[in-house]
Amino acid sequence: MVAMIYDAPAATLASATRGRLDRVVSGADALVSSAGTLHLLDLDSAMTLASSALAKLFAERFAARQPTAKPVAPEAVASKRLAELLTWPEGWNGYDAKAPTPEAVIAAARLFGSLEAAAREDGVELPEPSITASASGEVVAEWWGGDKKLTLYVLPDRVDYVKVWGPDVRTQMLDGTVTRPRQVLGLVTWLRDG
Amino acid sequence: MVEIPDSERLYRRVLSGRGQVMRDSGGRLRISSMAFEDRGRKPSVDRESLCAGGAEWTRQDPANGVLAFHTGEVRAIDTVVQRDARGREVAQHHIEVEPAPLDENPAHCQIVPSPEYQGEGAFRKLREALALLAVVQIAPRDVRD
Repeated sequence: MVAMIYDAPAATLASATRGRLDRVVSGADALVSSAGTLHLLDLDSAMTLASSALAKLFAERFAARQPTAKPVAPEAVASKRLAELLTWPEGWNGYDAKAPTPEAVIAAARLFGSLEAAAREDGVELPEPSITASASGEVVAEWWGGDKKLTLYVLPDRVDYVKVWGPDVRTQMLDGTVTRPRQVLGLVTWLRDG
Repeated sequence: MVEIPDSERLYRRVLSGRGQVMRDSGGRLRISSMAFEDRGRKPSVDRESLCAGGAEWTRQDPANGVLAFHTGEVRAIDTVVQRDARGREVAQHHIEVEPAPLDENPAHCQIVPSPEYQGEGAFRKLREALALLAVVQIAPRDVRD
């Protein structure tokens, strides 16, 4: 069971789906299904998959609105982990971290969906990242490859990165910003380059 | 201010299930740079010599883990740099470990920059450096053997 959320009240959606949603991300195009995965769906998918009551709700509320979110398959990279982030409380790191924000989780789900698509097109294997969060509530993805490491900070409009190939902060680390999924894929493949 | 000796061991708490410590595909424990994330950009650590019970003081809960490293290793990072979008160095930050005792935790100290960070880049790289030098003293429950 999957569906999508715009800005409908959580209680309304829970009622419409007869409790089959564990959690909704209100104000955004996403939800966490009862299987614990995060879903971003467009309106057509939601109409197909949701209950008739939910479809009616969409039709009433969003008839004139064109959704922009793309579907992310349940098996998409780390979708379960992303959904889990939404359950982390303030202070999740044992110190003073803010809880991961729904906006950050949705931005990450979109990025990973696009990244997977780009990897498929290019015939590149996309290793699964380790996913956690920053103290300010952003989603953070990390990959290790031999002595190299890549950290991504996923923001709604960009991805900040830190490339690490040794312990020297001045000469063996590089930080920057990218905006396109294919640029992010280039960073990930850097881990495997000699 | 009392200077913390280079030989002083420092502890940092990590929680189970938060991705702060994980096993890679080869089974090796990896420390995330997020293990040193801090909203105030001054990660908290505990001085071993003031921790009654050693690392257990910092651990607090049996599910938690503890990372360890020495004060001198942090000082050896020496300087982290902030670069602009063109890669030009725009700021240097000297890194120090300073006592910051709390009523409930006299062992508390912080890894601080001088001067304060102006952007995110320098602190992000410091976290990467700390993750590389730290060792897993006690693994959090989700990655234990």
